[in-house]
Amino acid sequence: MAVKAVEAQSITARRAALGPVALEWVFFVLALCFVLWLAHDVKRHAQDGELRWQKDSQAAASGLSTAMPMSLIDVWCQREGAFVRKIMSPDTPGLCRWSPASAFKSDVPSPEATHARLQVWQQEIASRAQQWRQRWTAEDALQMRAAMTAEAMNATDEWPAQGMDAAAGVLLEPQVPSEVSRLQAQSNNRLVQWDQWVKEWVAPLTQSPVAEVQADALWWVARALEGVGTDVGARTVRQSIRAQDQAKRADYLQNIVQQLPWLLLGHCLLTVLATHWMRSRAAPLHQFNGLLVLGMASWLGAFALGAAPSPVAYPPLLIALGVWMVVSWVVVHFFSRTAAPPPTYKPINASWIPGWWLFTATGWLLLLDQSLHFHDRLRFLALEQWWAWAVSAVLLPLAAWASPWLLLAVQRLAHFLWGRHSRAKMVMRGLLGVVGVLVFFLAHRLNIPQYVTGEVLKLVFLVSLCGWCVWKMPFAAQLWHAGHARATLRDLSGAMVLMVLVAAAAFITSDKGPLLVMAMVLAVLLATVMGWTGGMALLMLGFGAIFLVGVDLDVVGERLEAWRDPFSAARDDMARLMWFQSEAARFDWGFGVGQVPWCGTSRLQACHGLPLQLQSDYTFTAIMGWWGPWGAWLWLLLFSLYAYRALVHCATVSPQVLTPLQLLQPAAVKEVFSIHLLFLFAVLVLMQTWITVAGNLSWLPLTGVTWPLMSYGKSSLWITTVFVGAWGLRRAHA
Amino acid sequence: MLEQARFSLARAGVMVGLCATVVLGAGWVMNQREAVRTQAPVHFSARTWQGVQSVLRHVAPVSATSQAMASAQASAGGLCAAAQPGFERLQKSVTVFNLHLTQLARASFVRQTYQLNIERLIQETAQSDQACVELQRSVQWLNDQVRRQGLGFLQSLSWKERVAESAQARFELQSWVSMPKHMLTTRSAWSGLPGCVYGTDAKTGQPVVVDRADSATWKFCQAEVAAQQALRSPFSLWDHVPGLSTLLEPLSAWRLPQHAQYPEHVGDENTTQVGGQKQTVGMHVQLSIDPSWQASLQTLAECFSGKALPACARFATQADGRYEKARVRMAGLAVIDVPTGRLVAAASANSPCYSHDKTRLGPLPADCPNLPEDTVHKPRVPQTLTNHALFTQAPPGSLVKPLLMSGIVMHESAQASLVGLDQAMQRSDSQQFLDAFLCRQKLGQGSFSASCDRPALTLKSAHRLGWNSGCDGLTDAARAQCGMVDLMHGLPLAQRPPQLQGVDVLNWRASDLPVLMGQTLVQPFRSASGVSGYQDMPWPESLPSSEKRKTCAASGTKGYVRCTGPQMAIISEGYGQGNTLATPTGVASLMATLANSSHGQASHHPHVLVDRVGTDGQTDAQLQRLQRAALTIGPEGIEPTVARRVLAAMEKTHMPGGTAYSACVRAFGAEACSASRGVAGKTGTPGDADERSLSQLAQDMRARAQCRNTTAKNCAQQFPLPRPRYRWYAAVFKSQGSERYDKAIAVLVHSNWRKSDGRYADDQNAAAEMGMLAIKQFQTAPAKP
Repeated sequence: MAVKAVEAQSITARRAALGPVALEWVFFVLALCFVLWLAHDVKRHAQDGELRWQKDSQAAASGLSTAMPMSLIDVWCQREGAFVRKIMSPDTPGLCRWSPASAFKSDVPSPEATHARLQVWQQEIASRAQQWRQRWTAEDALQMRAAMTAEAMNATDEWPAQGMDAAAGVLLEPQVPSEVSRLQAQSNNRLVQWDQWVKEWVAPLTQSPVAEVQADALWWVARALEGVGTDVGARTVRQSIRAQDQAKRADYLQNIVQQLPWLLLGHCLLTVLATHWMRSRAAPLHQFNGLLVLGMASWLGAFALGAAPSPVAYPPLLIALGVWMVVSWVVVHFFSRTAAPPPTYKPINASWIPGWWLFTATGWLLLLDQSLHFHDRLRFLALEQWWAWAVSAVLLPLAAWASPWLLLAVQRLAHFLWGRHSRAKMVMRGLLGVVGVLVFFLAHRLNIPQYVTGEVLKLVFLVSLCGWCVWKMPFAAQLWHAGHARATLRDLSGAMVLMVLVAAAAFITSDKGPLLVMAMVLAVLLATVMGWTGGMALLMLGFGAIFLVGVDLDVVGERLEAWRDPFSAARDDMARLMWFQSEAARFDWGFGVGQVPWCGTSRLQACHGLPLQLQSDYTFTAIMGWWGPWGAWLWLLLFSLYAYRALVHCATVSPQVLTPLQLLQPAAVKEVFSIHLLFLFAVLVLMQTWITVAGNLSWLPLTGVTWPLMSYGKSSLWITTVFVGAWGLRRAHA
Repeated sequence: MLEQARFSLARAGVMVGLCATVVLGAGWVMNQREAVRTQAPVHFSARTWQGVQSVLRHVAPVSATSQAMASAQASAGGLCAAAQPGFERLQKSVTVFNLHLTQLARASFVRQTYQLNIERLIQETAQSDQACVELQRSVQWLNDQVRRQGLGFLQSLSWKERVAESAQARFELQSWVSMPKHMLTTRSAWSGLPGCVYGTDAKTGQPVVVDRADSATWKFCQAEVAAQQALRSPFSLWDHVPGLSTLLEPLSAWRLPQHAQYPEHVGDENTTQVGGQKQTVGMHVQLSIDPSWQASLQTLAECFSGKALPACARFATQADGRYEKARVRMAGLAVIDVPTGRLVAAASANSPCYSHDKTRLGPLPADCPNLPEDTVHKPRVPQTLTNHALFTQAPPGSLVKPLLMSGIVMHESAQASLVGLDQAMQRSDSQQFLDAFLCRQKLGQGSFSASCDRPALTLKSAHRLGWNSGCDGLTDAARAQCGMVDLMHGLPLAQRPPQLQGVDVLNWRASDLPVLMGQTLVQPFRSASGVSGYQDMPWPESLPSSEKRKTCAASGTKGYVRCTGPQMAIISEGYGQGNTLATPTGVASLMATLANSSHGQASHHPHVLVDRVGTDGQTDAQLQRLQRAALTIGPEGIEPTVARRVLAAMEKTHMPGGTAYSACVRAFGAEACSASRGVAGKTGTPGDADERSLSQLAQDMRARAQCRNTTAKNCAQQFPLPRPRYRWYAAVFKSQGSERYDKAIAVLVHSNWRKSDGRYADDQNAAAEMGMLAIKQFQTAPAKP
């Protein structure tokens, strides 16, 4: 009987475990079907959009199979690095780096040898200048043909052949298409400029008798021939290199569109396999290696379908992988006893991972549609996001795998920031804050993009605030409701200081959008502490401050103006959004996937449609274009439910772990941190989404924040994915 | 202690929802403002414009600037002075802006160098208490525009020195440059839906709309035309009419609300309710093309030009042994409704190699013939291809015979007998036709009359049948457009008949679509001002003497082969070559006019626009006037007896002994071709003289290139360039249920080469076969699927 009871218990437990898994599979299948349906529509209407990729790839595809030889600077450094360092002045930019091989060469050339070497340099420079010219001549011819293809297929500028020639009987004299004329002019202009540059800068150097003093000048010209510098020659070379790069990207994108269903299926499969692999009872090392293998297999698969470059093109990566495999083997065979016990990870609910996949996949397809049909300048965005998304599929379980260490780091940081310390440590804490702000200042000076600093700032804020939530906020709430306002303020001051530091960093980096989101997260927490009335008052005060301060700030002021008077403000972004939304609303369910006139409904040549930030700031408007207002609202509801379920999960679990006894156990403290991080993340995601939606609808001034998981942005996608994986795939059995 | 805390994450979750509700709710309330709810159709920032204008007012030539600087030394202090915040930034921005202005002069856009005078700017704006920051914002705005758009932005400003002196008065005194308001005005790129495009049922003339619902636009168009009881068709014009965008381009100013001239032509009143809201809509256009006929003919054209479609199984295209497995390299088919002149179908297709040879686009397709460069087959300057039925011009060859006959039989004479002319038409005997045309005593023998009116009468017939429109005009414009009509409305381009009075000519010309119908018996013309075109041959000056005609008639085995010398251009014209050119649409139009003449009915030039209606269902008044004019100024037509005789002769071409007999047999069977089938047709085979194979051609072209490097003078004669090899068929026929000739068809193809010997494989006229197959479809089966 006892055995039977145990068996029955085991079966019940297995069934209980199988239930959510089966449900997760159902969600995955539903998400996949939905995304494939979207992909079908995107692909069906892709023909027009693909033309511009064809133009890019045809310009460099057939005729220019020969790649440019190695850079002259590299050649010289490899061949005669020591000579270069000797002859050039030490402050010459891009000077050859020291290498062990060159150290053993006692290269002290005689004047004759120096003369001979510089003569070789002269010849190489002249020859390279000639190579570039020939290359552009061939490139331009190809581009003109490609333009004609596009014009013939579009057939918008065509006119009947009208010329006749009495002698020949019939002369089908064509009118050269306008695009071709433009390219012809552009080509002529480029060659004229190049010839002029060669005449003024290269010829005097390469045709005159060589002297040692010319070495620096030759070096400069060689650098210009690699596209480094600001003169006409360098600029022209840079443009050409860029065109080559664009041709490659266009090829990838065309392959991606061709193989779209397979790639989506593969991505979905990778996500499923990777997250399920994390649930197996394998050692952490095996889990990590398994992820690596899955990642590499997927990469090879994408390469086979022409959607990614070959892994062989990255030798350092392969070497690192090989070294890691050896280390793994050594660890497994000689240090197996020290290995950690096998953990398993399971998501907080059955929709957590399928939801992540559904929203990221839909966001990417939206971007693909824009790459196909929106502004020319944005035609390659889908490719960058595709690679970022592919990496995210591995990053998701990897974050879960690394979560114990991440939690440990968070816990230590929280202890440092919010624990009781000596005065010296308090000073250190203050210094850390100042250093943090300085780091952001430095990043801004180093031209690190705002979207990166913004995402990092949010990350720092959440991680720092998490400790406050665990160690300070409950006490603050208790004291506030007990009527000890002054004591409460002491606990609240930490969060306020954090907010001030974050605000300082945001102002320094000129990125005030995330600040609003973070302020709202804090306001929510403070409202929780102080009760509804106090919280709401705080929120209103915050908004009032933003408006009052914002009027005097250039960007904020402009956005406020655009919000107040969309049709007469200095910026017309809001006006364009409103025009588009009202147009999309005329049809019950929008324009349809792949059929949205992002550039307007007219056949105007230039794209005068939505603002160029469509892919990042105006995702809700883009969704409205696809599915109309009803569809967009339903989608927002679905996304909000997805994030809200994480809140519900945290709220459900928190009473069990937020007890003094539990908090005395280190393992439980980690759990508490994990829950709070997830909670704060979910609040942030929700706030950010609603703020961007309100901005899109002109209910709030535009803030420039993106829709998490849906909008374009590698850093945003990766950081959000790390949060989803690390705190959403919770470690169940350590 | 923690158990008693009122804090919980659940409460925080509720707080999240509450916050969202408050924020979004407040935002929604704010959004109910009148300025936001009633969306303006344009965006214009008056503040920016005024700021920029106030800056530009102080841009002046350097000489004027230095004078102003001298006078501005004692500048009054305002909100913007040297010590004020933002002054340095303003100075920097002004310096950058002045650099841009200098570049403008260097680019020779303006004669003088202009500069922005900062002292004067500060001095004058001091009265309006503008701060440095505001001034800097405006100057920076200008710099930003230059950064984004390049110098082109500055060039698009309104510069006083670049406008006519008479218009300079509108500039303020001391003002040298200003910014037009429209440069700051943004219009909604979605400010209205494009007007719908409908087809026309070939039988009833009712509008036809696509019977599909997988696009919001189609659904909208179906709803818009519902009241007019439109017919439904599964075929979309967009899918089946090559070059439709070219056809629609002239109508953009009426059809697309975003077009710059739309407000001028249509105004703001053409609106409709979409989704419960008032929306501007472009005018809907009804094209004369029948989607079903078009789809059917397009399939036929594509099958014969090598496309492997499932539907091609029903056509025996006999393409084996040819390059690309294509019976022809190019095909264009035009069908015109005889009573109304509506263009019912304009099918067009070409083989991939033909397309590549002409356009040089993309990779070379497989199985292409090796053609020499710089020839008509592979032109040096690539061409674009649109719709062969409308725009491809080719010498009609023997297709001019009906036209010649209509002129010849007008002048019956005892000295120039016409016995046997009808049989000559049946077998397309060019020599006998030339005998008759040049007034020989008998067909095939005898001397020539000294005076002969037949060429002049033939030319007159050409005009009366709708060709040579404007070739008799006295203006350069008329001659430059010799033979062309406006296919959009069916109006001659070069004439200004009284019927056109009251029509806004500029308005009409904004939407015209010039297409060559046909020209014959013309000679090149070049005016003193350099305008080139064609004009009618003068008679009797262009007629060779009777001796010359006799000599020419006796040359070669069959006659009329080596006819060189002055006044002998008429022989080429008589063969339907030389300067004689036509398009398939033009040939079909000629046939339709013949049929109308035989019925004693008025003819119309072919046209493609049937209606242009607003959302209220009313036809555009301007179009109505044009249509009324078009009804009265169609081709004059010829005498019914003459027309009937010509058609009677053409009816025999598909009978035994006729040039279209074998094609008829393939399409209908031998028995059906022994009697009249309600078809009166004619074949045309221009360019037969050149029988060189591809290898010979390549050899000749190499030799020609070598020859031209030497001092030899007769290279062109010794190694002539290849000519395109066209095949034509044109007919009028009775479609199903019709008792009279109610449709005219013209088919033009370019022959393909045999792979085995590199020679043209066109023993059987593919155009005639295609024409017969098309006629069969519309005679024996319902036109609608």
